[in-house]
Amino acid sequence: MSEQSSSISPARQGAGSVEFGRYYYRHDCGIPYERNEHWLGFFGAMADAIVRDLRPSTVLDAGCAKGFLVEALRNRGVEAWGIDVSEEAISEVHESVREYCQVGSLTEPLPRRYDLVVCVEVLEHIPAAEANAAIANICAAGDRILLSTTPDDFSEATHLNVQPPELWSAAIAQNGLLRDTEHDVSYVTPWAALYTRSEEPLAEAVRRYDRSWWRLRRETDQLRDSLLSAHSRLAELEDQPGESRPELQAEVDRLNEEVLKLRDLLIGKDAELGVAKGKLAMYEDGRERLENVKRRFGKVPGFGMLLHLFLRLVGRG
Amino acid sequence: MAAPRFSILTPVYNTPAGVLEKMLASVETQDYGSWELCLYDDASTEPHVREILAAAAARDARIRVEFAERNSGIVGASNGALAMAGGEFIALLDHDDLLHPDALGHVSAAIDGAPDVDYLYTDEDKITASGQHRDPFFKPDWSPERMRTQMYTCHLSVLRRSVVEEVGGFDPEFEGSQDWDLVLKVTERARRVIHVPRILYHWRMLETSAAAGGEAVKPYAFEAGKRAVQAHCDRTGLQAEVERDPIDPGILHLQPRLKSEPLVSIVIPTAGQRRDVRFEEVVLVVHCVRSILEDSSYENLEIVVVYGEATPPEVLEELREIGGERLRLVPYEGKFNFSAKINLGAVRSRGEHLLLLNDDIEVRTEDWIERMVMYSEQEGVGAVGGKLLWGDGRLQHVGVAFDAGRPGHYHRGFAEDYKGYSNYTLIARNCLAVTGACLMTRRSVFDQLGGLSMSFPVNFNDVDYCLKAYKEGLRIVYDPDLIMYHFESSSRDPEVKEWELNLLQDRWLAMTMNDPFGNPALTHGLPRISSYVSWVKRRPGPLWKRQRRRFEPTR
Repeated sequence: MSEQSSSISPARQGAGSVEFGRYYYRHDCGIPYERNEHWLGFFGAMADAIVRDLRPSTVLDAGCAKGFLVEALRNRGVEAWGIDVSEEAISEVHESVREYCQVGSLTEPLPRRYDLVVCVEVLEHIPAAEANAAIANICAAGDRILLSTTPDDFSEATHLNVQPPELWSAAIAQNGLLRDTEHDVSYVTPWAALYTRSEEPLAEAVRRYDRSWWRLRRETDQLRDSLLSAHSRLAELEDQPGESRPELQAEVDRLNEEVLKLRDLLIGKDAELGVAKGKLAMYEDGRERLENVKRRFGKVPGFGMLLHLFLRLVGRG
Repeated sequence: MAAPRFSILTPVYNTPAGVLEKMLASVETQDYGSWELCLYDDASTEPHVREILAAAAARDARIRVEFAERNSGIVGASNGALAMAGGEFIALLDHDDLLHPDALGHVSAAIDGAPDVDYLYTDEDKITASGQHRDPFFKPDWSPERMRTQMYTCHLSVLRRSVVEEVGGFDPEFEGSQDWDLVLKVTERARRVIHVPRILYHWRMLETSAAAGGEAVKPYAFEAGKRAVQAHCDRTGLQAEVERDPIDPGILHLQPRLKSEPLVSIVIPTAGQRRDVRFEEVVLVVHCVRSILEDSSYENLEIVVVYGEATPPEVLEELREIGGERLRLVPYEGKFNFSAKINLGAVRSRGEHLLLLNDDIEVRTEDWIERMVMYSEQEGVGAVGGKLLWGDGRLQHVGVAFDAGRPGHYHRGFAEDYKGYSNYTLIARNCLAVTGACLMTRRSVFDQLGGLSMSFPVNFNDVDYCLKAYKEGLRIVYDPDLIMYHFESSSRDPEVKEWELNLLQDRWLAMTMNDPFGNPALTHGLPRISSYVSWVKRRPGPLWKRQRRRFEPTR
């Protein structure tokens, strides 16, 4: 969403508001980042999950951009605040939470502590030289940190510091927080992680990490096995000519016959309809002509009786 | 649409005075007025020709004459006349023939009904030197297959001028049959071809004209006709070699020359019956399969025999012995339904072409499958059939035709060499249906049409199939040189139930009420007596008795 620094060169700082100006929000966030159904829904769902799983009473959204998450959390009764480097974004924060969102940089120490600090797609925008300071500030502001920062999107112009997840984990561990392996926060992004301040001994942390590593390893092995057997079964089926699977071939033949029958039925009924329409038009025509005769000669005395007898005679009465 | 203008092309060369005057008068008395007569005198040596033509041009501005300085033959003269033409359509009129006074009127009425038409032709008769009418020729609707073996459209031919010029006019390479060549070239690209079923042209039989017939008059013309059709086959990708008939010079035959042999699946439904064939009892299906394998020259075929529950096991054993690798036996269970048997055989076969065959057939023509494939490979063809004979050599089937919605086999029981009306049995033709006793169709067409209809379990499923194909715009072909024996019981007609005929008519009456490949004047393939009367009534009286009438097309 957003971020920036204060201690880099003046030129760079001046660019800060341009980098995360209107163009950025309109074009660089996938679906245009504005007050629309998509983003409100996304942050609403994220807020629901945070309230359900983590039950924080105070939250800071570090790099809050237009404050959608702050707004969503406040609506769910959580005391939430937001901070963002972009004045442009802060100026568009919804008025109901405007007083809780302010312009500020993560490279400056944060004013107070919170139950949870959320930092979604922000750190990759901070130059590497200042990233450690920002992480230290975030870690100082709370005991739980929900962090998401892209591991592989190098293509975007404002992504100054894209790093693999383990580097971020290591940097945060330096500040005394370890990954919470029990909580799944993939509702934010696939690479999002929750870090908790931990006093646990090294052995305990290793046990915890090993447990989840082992589970994933088993899962991978088993999936690969079932994929391999599916492959070989597929190859087997492809190599077999039709005749060697008589029951399948019989079914295909039966269905082909059925298709023929239905096609014929369609064509036949269509033709019957055409002929019927033609006959109908012919009868209509005849009726019309009969009506004409009646109209023209109906007033002649005795004509009606004659016509009636004639029609009886030809069997059309 | 504005009334089209006709340019009548008439090359003139040494025409007898009386004949020439009559020809001119027959044009001048046309009830339809928008025409021009393009007379191109091919350097006649008789002095009266120039006088008569000059006089005609002087009395009517629509008659234009050009005199050539030296003789250039019929093609050169025709092209000279074509160069004079300015109308939307050209009509071909020979210098000694007559137009019916209604001719252009009826043709323009037909054009009115179908503005995209590129070629029209009418019925014709012949007229003797003394003015008697003979040999009315009542023609079928547009039949491309017939056009390859007989120049049947002949007179009166009316062609869209832009298309004629596109194909380069009359081709000197086919001198004598230049009109056949031209019509073939025009119809190859024509958007629509229309037949006007009225005698509107009278072709004069003089000793020097081809109408009197015989090769002696213009031997080169027939050879040119053969070459024109051969060139047409080469252009359209029909893999055939054209041959002339040894007896009738006006008939051609196509001999198949396939470049490759696609797989053909012969589907034979059977119940293993026995019947007398030439006074000897045989199992029909065994006799049939043996005949196919021994008497056919085609190699790439598979035979699919669909047998009913009643088939004796020793018959199947014998079939396996004869058929070997190329035979596939498919059991059919359930109530008898001919269509279901054929459809079952079709889905179990793999050939590109399906050949439906009854088990009481015996092969006579060695290259019968090649012949069928030759036609069946053509994009526009839906089904191909041939000439079937009873065991005693009499005709059983020469294509199915319709009389007022009732299908029939014309000339059934006639001798094998019976020609029929206008060589009906001797030429390749298009018709509405051929019998399913021996019928080839492409598999893609079979699938598209839903195979044979289950609604017709016994009779008419073949006719229904062909009509389905015809409705889709595909042609049905009868090949006269594909001759097979069909040991159908000739003593009694196959039992047709009333409901079957009713269902057939409920489906197809709109198409079969007036068989497009018959003619309103024909019944059972022959001119009906009343048509002679109306034909005599319709022909023009002596010129001096004729009055100008307002033309009103009648239906």
